[in-house]
Amino acid sequence: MFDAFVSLVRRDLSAAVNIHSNWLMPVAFFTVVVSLFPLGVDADPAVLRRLAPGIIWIAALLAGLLSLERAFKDDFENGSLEQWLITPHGVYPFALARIFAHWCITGLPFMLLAPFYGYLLGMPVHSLPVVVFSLALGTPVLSALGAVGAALTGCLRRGEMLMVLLVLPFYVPLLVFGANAMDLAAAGLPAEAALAISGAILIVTLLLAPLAVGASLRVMLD
Amino acid sequence: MDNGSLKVSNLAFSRDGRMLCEGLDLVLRGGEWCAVTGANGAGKTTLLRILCGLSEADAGAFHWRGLSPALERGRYHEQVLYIGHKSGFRSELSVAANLAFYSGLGRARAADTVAQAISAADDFGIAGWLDTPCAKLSQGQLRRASLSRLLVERASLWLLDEPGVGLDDDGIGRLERLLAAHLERGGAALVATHGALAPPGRPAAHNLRLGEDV
Amino acid sequence: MLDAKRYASLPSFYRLCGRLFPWLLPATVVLLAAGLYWGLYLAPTDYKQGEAYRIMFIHVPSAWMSLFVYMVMALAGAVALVWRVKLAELIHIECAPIGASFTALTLLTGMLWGKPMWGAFWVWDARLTSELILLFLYLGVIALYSAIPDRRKAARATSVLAIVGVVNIPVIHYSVLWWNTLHQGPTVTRFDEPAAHISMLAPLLFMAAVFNLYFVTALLARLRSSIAEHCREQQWFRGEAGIRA
Repeated sequence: MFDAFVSLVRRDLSAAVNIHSNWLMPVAFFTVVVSLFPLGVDADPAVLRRLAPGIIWIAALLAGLLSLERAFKDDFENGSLEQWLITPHGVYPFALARIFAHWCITGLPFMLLAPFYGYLLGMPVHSLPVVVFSLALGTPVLSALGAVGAALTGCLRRGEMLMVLLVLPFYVPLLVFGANAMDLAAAGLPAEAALAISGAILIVTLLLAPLAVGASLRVMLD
Repeated sequence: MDNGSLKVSNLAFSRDGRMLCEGLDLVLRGGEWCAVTGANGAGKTTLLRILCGLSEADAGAFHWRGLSPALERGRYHEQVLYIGHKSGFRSELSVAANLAFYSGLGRARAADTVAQAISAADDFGIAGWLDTPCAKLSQGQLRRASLSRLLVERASLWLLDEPGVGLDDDGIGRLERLLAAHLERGGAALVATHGALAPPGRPAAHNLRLGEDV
Repeated sequence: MLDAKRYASLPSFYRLCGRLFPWLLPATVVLLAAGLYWGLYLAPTDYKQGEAYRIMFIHVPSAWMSLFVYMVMALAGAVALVWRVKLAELIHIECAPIGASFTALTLLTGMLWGKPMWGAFWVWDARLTSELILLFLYLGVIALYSAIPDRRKAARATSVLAIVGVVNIPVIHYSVLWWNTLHQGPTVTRFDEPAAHISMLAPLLFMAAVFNLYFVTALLARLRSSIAEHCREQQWFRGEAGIRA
């Protein structure tokens, strides 16, 4: 079972590395969205500092969703999906592997870039570790819940907008606790409570989301 | 109880609310193969997808060596290999990389190491483009590549949906010899086909025509 | 005929709907009128909120129903997924528009109540915001259902979505409460639930019961017409409806 997980992650990541747009696009999108906010709202450091956690999180959600849209589409078209469903291991390790691979090309770079953007948006330096930590706990949930939406809409012809509509309401807790932890840290308050809840959500989501992805794929390929 | 056979009893299936087949009974022993024929839309693909566990039948049951995908999913899929219309190969990866991926998924391999198992695929005449990305292959080449999974993985029941489409005479000949060798080993196969497929010395034990007896 | 087994419960359920509906519809109308009269006229005026609080008799039961219908929808979806019961698929998907209407009604009455209470139709109150997200969840189910051409596949896909939703709703609600307590200034007056005096509680519970009755009535009516649509080509239905072949 672990072999199946590893071989799909390897397959996904080698495909992502071969095609630059696969891993560069989400990062570029994340960067552009973050840098548009000061232009659209206000460049006043006090205002930006207040908004920074929300800006970083919303940019991460949108950039993550953008790249999820194709998460299952290619493999549906070339027939890999139906082969996953009929392997001895079942679809669970594949769902988990696809979530992990998506996180590697979105959540992981966002997490590494966020402290720089946080700094540019005027967040105090002492809060930057919490920025990283909050994204570390939250972005895997983004990938996991998004994968459910992608699995449900991946085989449909115009599924992109639909996927965003299905998935965004599920991101509310992510946004609230993630941005809140950064907020508290920026104000010099302890952020452990919000981070702990994010962690709990992460564990439950990682256990259950692959099941939902598998069930979705089974239904959609029937 | 004969555990070495595929037993289908009273199977019924439909598609988009249209009944395709009812009361289908079939017994296929190890070493036998069944040709599934019928007009377009008669339900050949639907039947194969049900037998490989992708779709569900409306009624009836089936077992291969006493296993059913509803109850023993993992063990059933160790035994059964389905090659459909779509290759299942990722276009940006090479043929060898795709074969390596499939040979690591829990079915028995033709050889101990992945590399040796992949070299077994040479028998399908694909040695020349093992390292070519699948996007650059022609339809026939891609079909040969996906069928070479039959050499790399060891499954006892083959479910093949129109395997001859896109193959040249040489490819058809190789497929027929491959099928004969599989039957020789005691395996069985259900093959949906339009053209005649004649594995040497192994005529089809059954010819299932869909879309007529309903 | 194989269909007889597969659709076994549909004909009998269709007839059951036909028998119950003529009783349920008048009962719902009469009891709804009685409940409105009780709540909007007979119940005493609230000493703090005056007459405006009376919208509670619609707002609160409809908020309860918006969650309850989602639970029913997810439960029917689970049955449809596991046992592939056709009737459960229909119940699952016919719940969605009814639940969405209750959610919309809750939002609308909440805004009407908000005007006298907060001086604005909309403030980012925790309960209203949760309700808005619930509306998005319902819209997602309806949109996904209409995007998949095969009806049975569509119902099973939305079942997965509804089950994911049911697991998420408590987390979403809790996160909105958390967000609300941190971000709202103390100047905003919260909804002040009127003290649960028996003279107000009784009509409230009565209205909740009537809303449940309405849900059952509307669901049966929708099921009857959706069974008719699904089975319009089938023998039993053509016999039922007096259609000659």
